[in-house]
Amino acid sequence: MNLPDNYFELFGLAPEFGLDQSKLLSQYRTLQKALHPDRFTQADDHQKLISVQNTALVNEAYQTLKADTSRAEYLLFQAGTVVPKDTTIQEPEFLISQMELRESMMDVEGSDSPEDQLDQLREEVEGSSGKIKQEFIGHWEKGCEAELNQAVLCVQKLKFYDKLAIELDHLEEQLFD
Amino acid sequence: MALLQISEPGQSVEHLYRTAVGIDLGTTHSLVAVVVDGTPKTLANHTGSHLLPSVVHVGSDGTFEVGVEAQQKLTSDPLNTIASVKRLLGKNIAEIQQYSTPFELSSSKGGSPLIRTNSGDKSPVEISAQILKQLNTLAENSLGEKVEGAVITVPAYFDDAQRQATKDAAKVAGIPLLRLLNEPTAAAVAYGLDQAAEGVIAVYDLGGGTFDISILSLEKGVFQVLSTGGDSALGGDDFDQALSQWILEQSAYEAPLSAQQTNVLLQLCRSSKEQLSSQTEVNIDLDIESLKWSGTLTRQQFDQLTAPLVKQTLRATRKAVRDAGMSTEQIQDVVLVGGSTRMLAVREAVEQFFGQAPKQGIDPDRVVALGAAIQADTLIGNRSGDEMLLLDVNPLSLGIEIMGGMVEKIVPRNTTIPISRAQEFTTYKDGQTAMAIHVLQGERELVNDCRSLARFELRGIPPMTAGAAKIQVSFKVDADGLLSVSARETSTSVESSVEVKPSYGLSENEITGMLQDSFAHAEADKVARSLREVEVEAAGLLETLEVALKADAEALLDATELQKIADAVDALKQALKAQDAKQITSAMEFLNHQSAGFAQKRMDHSIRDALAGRELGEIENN
Repeated sequence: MNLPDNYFELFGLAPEFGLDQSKLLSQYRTLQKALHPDRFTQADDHQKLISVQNTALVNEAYQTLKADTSRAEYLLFQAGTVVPKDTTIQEPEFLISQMELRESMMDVEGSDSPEDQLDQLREEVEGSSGKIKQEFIGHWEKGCEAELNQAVLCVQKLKFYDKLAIELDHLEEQLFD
Repeated sequence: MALLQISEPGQSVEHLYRTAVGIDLGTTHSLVAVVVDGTPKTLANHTGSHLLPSVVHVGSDGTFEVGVEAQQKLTSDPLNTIASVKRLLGKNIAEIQQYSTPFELSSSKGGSPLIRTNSGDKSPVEISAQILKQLNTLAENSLGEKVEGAVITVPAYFDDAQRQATKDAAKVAGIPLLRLLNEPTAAAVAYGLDQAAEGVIAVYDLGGGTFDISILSLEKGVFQVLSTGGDSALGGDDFDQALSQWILEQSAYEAPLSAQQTNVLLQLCRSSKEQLSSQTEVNIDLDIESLKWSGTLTRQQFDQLTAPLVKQTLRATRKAVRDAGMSTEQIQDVVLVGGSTRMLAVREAVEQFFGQAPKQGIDPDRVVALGAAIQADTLIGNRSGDEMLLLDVNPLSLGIEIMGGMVEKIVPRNTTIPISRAQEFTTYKDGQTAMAIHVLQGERELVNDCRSLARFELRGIPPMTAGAAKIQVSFKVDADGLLSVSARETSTSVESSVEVKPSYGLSENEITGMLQDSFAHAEADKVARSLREVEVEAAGLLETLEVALKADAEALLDATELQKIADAVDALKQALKAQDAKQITSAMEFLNHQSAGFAQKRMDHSIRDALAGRELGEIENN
């Protein structure tokens, strides 16, 4: 018997962007408790192999659904829409806002209160990506092709913000050292 | 139901107790622990000591001494006495040459280091195996039973090569390894079960040669590692080194140090460091072969000298807290592990960082071995698995080299293991029929800044225009944190695949060679040993099957299927009576074959149960 291929089905969750994280976590743990290789140390090699494969699938599924961006991308993938990897975003407004954020990042180190600056930038990044997540839900729920293409654009933008958030973390590390 | 009478009349079908130990293979000390009547205990040697110094002396006749006896020879026979071998494990010669070691090193053909002794060159794996053997003997002597399985701990921040080397050492020592377990995770298990703790905890583990920080969530018996970080070359030894540098500067001694001078100086530094954990100053009186210095060292001076090291640990700690998606306020408890956390400056720094006093309770020297014993007891089947589950992560990102000397990450750090990930790559030249794959581990973007794990070539790609071939590279990380990589071309019906397991230093042949060496002194013992090993394995198989049949035979098997298994069980029992290793092995293979269908059905059953075990009313939503 194979586990369901669909990650939402695997955890018994509805395929929606809004997701109950605590439910995801408890379902994840229930599955792991039954399937983990630690449960099969005395079993034969075949069972051990299946256990590792099952657990790997459950881990992959959990990580995909846990993070907002990868969950959004997975929803689109299930609907037959693949988010292209290396395309650039053409929207001038978005590009300008990205450039401005990056410029402010460069100013953090020299500023009087770098920590406050960092916090402010974090809030900005979180606020903007929060808005895009709302836009994504709107497009996703309408579901026609044109809307899904807009949803793809949202995921691409989210990836930009995720990257910025990581860079902010690096910047903070440098400041503390 | 003839099958259910597998056990001899009068013998209970209840589970037999099997001895499994937890081993903390440390840089400075090593320990072995076992669960007795549900409580984990570290085992003491004949002198009452629980800590075995991780020091090995190689005699000119090829015999080994391990522990206190070897430690005493550090100053009298420094070239043949190896301390802190864990720092050399899984490293190549170039990486090691940056440390100052008193003994002489040479390089094997594969670039792994060899320690020159008056009984020939020894690899760090062989030396580590001696420590493991000593602990295994200690356990077997004090328990009066054969050890059937061991969980050996490794620093969470150990890379793939260091893990593989530890696994190799267990193999050379002839210890059946159940699992490699990360040290901070082991400590969390011992602490969590002892204190019945729930919530998010931080384990700060500063040992003799390694530093680990792990953030874990503990809930209903599930120990889930959220993030881990550290430095696999930062520990108490470095504090000793910093102090020895300072003393050398004070003494204005210019000449290079002899091996004996180095060892005496380092031992003096270590004992001064230890005294400063309980007093505010210490008098140092050094006099060894014209290297002379005497004076007073205050705690404040020592703290200043070593402040950069403490700061380095906090840097990794901050990163781990962030990687866990937590803030320091959300951490409920902080647990200190490792002898080096006795230093007051370390305690104070950790307390200040987390804004709370670290938990005291379990001895920081023993907590790792205790946790490993609990996990060993669970894995061997003595403890019901429903009580506890460990979910660990890979500490360092894994990836492959792409154009321009860059690394493309395939499995990022802090991904829960086991995990399997695939990524697609393509050819860059028309008609390209082979592709070189270079596997790397580390966080940096450039190949040269990461650890090279393995290189292999995928050949037999059908000639196509550039970019048309689809090469799928799959990474698999198992529950021990060990990686295997395979690659195949998927765009045509032709599939060629290559599988590599990164391994350093030692080939399978070299390990076999060492195994043979270690048995060379007792050739007759070898046959007996291999018979005993298969007997244990066969008994385990019979027992597992018996429990399985008792639980599920009625529901899952028809009479014919049952009979097939029963016949194979009988054959294995006959073979056991005949005491012939070959016959037992083939009877085991036959039984495994005959019961494969049953095993599959049980597996399906457990999957169905797992899916059914989710909260009700959720599948209808889809």
